[in-house]
Amino acid sequence: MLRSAMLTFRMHRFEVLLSAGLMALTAISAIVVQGHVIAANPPDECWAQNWRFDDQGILTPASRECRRLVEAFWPVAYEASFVTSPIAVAIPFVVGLLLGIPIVGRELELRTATLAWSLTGSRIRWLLVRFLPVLALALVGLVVVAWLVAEMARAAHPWNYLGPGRIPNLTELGSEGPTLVGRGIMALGIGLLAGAVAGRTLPALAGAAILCFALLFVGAPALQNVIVDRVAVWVEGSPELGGLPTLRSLRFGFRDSDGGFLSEEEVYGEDIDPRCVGCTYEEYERWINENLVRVEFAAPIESYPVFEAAETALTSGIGLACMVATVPIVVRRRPS
Amino acid sequence: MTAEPVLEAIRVSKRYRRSGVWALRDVDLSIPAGTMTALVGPNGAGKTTLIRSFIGFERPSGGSVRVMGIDPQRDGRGAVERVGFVSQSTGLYRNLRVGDHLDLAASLRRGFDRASAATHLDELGIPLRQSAGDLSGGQQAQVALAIALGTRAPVLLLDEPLASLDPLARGDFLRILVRDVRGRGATALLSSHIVSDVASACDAIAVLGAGRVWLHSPIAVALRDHRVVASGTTVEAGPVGDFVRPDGTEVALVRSSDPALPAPTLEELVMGYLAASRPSRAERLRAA
Repeated sequence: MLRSAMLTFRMHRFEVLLSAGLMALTAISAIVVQGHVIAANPPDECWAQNWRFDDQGILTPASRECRRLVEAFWPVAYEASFVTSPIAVAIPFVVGLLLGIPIVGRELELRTATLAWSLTGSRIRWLLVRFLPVLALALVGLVVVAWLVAEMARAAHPWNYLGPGRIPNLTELGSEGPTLVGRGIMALGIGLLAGAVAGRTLPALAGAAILCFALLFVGAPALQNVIVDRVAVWVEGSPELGGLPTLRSLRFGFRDSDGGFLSEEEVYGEDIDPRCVGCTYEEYERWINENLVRVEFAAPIESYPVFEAAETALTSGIGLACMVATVPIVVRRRPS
Repeated sequence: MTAEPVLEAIRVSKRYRRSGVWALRDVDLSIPAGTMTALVGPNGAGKTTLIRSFIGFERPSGGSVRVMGIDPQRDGRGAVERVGFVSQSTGLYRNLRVGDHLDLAASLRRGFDRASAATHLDELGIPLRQSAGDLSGGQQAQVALAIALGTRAPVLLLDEPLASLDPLARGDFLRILVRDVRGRGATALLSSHIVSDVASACDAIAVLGAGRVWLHSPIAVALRDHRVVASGTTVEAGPVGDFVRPDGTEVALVRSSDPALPAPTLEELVMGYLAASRPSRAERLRAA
């Protein structure tokens, strides 16, 4: 088994080395960034306290000391994670497609499948021998990368980790932790299936990449919206003003002093609230600020694990479904 | 041809969906055990399609094939396990070493005889440590043959393995193939369009043209039962086909064992049948 795994890695030497190299670089970069920013990180109290807009309209911590520390930290954090964070988002797709497509696609393209399939009565066994070592490599690599990137993000974006048990703010979703592994499994499965269907690597790469990006940019937000709708609660405050660690506010409204709820349309509609007697529109704006409390229908930070688990399960599920769907194609396919 | 058939094609037809071309039309062929049969015919005759059908790589549009009584479409595993296969494109992994290919075969095929495969290659001076990508076409074919022979399969299917080899390499290839097949009493079907090469190696010949089998006979019998006459000569025999010799003489192949008439060479025998397989001018016009 070990010998077969080594042969598989040797067959796909280029992709294996490139993927392993990219994952190693990302992991090392995450460690370096973490070490770099952790020293400059202001204490948690600076992020947790109420922030306000300063004279230039910039959101800053209330205390002067915190403001100084935070101002010194911004450039360090942004510069440090400027490269690593986007790479971390891309790496599962790059690794998944690089490793998944050639498993069957290149064997068909270079006609090596003809030799292999003439030797084995069980193409399923052949597929498993070729695929499992690659899956193991991708899983181990991506788990390490996901964990290290999460550690880096905690150090570089501390304001996103102020929730109970330091769970991340929902803005971190998809850029660290298990979601990265799930996306990698999805890309690997899609790549494997695309290679088996197309029988050629470049068309398979193009098709699989388009599908992955569609799922990333259309599917992931759609899934998040579905979850937001289920877990969202009405909370006071505004996400922009700190102290309300939420990802997505679906809509907002207002509560009056009696606890009554007014929708956005009711407050900002055509008619001025009759309680603001004789108000002009300018005076009405002031009246709103003085008499109503803005409330958001938003996902609370505690719901992060729900989002994370849902996305990871869905992406891993898509990947596994693609892997399973590859089996009958390999069994029935005619080697070129 | 009375021995138990090892390879059987029963009214096999194959039409490729995309091109609409009929590669095989109602082919009947029965290869007895222990024989080495040359499957000859021009490019596009259907040789590759027929051979690939036996290993289950092509699904016949009609009819069926059997490998030692097994239909590859029903029991692909059973068929593959009884066959050693060499394809025209050897299918070697360019970035693996020769020895890796033997390891690969051993991991995929139960009972693969790595030692004998390595001995074959050693005999030909092909180092196991050499990368397959650095081998010549002839050496690649030898590696593919060594792998096929290492399976110790009772049936060997060889799809134009000689096509890209020089005469010396072809000689080496056939020598090792014949020794192994005869030594083990295996059955081999070797497709080629180079008639002169297979003449010395095979004991039977099947001529495939335009998707049909035109002749299937032991080579000695085929040569005994045919004669070559000048075109237009009237003889008491069945005419097969007219063809032109390389020197420009127009001759005809006829079914006859008249000792007064010259016997054909194997090449002439094939040319006569291939001439017969060509559609007539009227048929071509009708098809057009």
